[in-house]
Amino acid sequence: MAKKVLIIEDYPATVEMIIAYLEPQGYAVDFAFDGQSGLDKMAASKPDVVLLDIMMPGMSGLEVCKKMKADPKLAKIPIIVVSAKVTSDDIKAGLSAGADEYLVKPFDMKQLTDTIKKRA
Amino acid sequence: MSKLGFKLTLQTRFVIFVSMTFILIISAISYYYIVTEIQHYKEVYHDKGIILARTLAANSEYGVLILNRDILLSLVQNTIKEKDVVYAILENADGKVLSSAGMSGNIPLPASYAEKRPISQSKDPEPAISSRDLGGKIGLVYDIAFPIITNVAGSGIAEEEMLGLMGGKGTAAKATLKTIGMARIGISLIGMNAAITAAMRATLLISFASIIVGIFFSLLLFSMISGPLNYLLEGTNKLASGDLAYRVKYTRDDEIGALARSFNDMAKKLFDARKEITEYSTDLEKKVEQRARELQESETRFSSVLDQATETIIVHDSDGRIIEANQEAFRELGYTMDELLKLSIADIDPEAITSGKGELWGKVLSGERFTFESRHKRKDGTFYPVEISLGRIVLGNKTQVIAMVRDITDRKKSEEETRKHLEETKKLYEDLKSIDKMKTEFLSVISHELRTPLTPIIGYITMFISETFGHLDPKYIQKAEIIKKESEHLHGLIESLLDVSRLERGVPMQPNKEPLSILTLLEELKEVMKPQFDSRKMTLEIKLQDGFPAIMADVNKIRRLITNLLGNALKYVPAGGGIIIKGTYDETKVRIEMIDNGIGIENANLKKIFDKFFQVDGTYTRAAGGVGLGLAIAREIVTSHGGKIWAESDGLGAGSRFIFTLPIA
Repeated sequence: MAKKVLIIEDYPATVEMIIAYLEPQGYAVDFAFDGQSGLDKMAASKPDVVLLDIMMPGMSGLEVCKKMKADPKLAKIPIIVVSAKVTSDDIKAGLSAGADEYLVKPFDMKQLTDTIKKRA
Repeated sequence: MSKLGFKLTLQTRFVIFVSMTFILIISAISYYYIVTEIQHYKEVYHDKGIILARTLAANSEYGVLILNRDILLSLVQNTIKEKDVVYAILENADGKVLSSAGMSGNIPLPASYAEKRPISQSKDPEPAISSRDLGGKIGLVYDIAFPIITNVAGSGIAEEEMLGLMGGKGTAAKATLKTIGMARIGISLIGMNAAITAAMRATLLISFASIIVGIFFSLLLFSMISGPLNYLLEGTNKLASGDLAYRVKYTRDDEIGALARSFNDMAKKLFDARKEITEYSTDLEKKVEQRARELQESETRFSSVLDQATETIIVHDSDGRIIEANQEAFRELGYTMDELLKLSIADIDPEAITSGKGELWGKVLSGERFTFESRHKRKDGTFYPVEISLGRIVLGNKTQVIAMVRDITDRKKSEEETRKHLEETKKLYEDLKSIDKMKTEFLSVISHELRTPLTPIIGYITMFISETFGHLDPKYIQKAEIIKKESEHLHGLIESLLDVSRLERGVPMQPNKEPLSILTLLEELKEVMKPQFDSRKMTLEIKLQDGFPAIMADVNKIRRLITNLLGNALKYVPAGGGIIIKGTYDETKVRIEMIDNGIGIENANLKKIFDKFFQVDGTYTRAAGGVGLGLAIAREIVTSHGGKIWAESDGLGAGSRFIFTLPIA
């Protein structure tokens, strides 16, 4: 059974690129363009891993992290933050909000698959 | 008193005293002698007269009894032959002159004699003596009358009756004495007078001689004393006239000699004392002169200093009255000197009193110093701002206050301008700071915004190259690789922007230290960068000292550091060049030296190259690329680890050396 990956990212080209990259590798990839719909989708589909952007309109990635950790049904889903927020403060903030991994954009494609494999 | 006067006076007195003493003594002796002599002569004449009278009376008894005038005459004539006898008279009992020689007749008997006419029958009758002045050549005469007595044996009744009357009743005398006449002689005292005169003459002569001798001896005596005294006198005069070196040359061992020695001692002491006084006085005069000159100079200097001063200087007495002021004070305040010297501190600085600064006065008088700002009032009533320094001067028991007053009109104006300027600068600074903050935020946003599109670009190009979407003609893949390489370059620039943003915010880098092997890191980087070196035909040599230690450092930061330095070298070292990395260490730190044979660095730029955005020629060099952040970031990394980084170069074309140290622990 294919691993389910949920991408929550407001930049469509990136979403499309990741789907294009992961689907050939056998991942079942779903996506959401904002935090709230991301939460809704993951509640419905129970993904194996979430790729989460931080800077998004409306709910930020950090809030999504916190809400997931606050929700027992979502708390155990691994979170890989993929963000253009790259300072050490940003990384600390992400990890302390509940993220399991933190990849900075632009990321190395191999590194992405390695991380997903590690967490999913 | 002159020398002569002194001498004469003392000598004269001495002589007079001695002479007078002589005269007195000799006069007394002469007087006694003459008086005694007169007495003696008187007695001699007296006795002589009595003897003569008695002799005459005795001799003439017979002649009177018989009344023989011739006998009587010869008797009297013989009598007056005796020296000094001036007359001789024989009278009968009735007083009738029987005979006389010399002066006679005219000489009356003394009345007393007639009454006392001796009628007794005494065998030794008393003569009746009287003296009388006969004047002329005879002068004083002793008249001596002696009775002529005869022995009558029992004859006549009358004679018996007479005896009864005279001798008392019942006494029957065997012989009866009867006065039958009177013998009288006169003895002149002229002889005596001549003798006395001669004696007196001799006495006077002796007296005179004695006086002469006395004067002579007194002079001699005086000169015996005054001679030596003259030595002393001369010495005294010399001394008095100032010749303190003079010594009395009198060496005899007598009282005067002792006096002379005392005198010489005294003169010596005087001489020494005078010498000392003279020296002291000379010294003192010099000192006084010197002091006076210094005082004059000091005063001149003081007033010159006062007048040269560009500040107003005013001296007040302890009550605040103005007692001295310099030229600047007159100029500033607009008063003349006379006017100013009648004023008090309240007249020129009314606010000093009313504003509570008056309390300062007491403190200043007790020695504190104060500097404060106030306003001074000119003669025309206008005020100007001043800065006043008050200090105390103590002159004996007087205390004065010296006020240094600076006109701070210009300073006030300048302060106001400075304040305005500062405000403007502050505002500008705030503006700049806010612009700078905006810039930093902008950089941060740019970094984020550029990464976002770069992500799918790099993602897709990576997939192209790995032919994720199917087989591609190698020439596309080749171009795709170029796109990827340029995208990575773009990525690097974006990373730099972020570093800039962080540096701009002044956030210190916080290295995450863990054990790091520099050698491993260098070799890894050499491998990673091998394509870049190869493409430029450049070599990279690593020479680390044996036993190079592991250090505690942030792996990622150190990797960036070395990457930056190597990237820099790649830019500035011409193709075919080489880079050597040397590593040494000591107990506390490691030292890494990166030596290239590139274009080198001008001495003036050795430090500047570590500044942000510094480009050697100030312009963006396409060939070198980069935005001038590599070395700034490198420095940041090294310093955040507690190390140092610097560059060395022998100049353009001479290559360069980048050296950094890192602590081991």
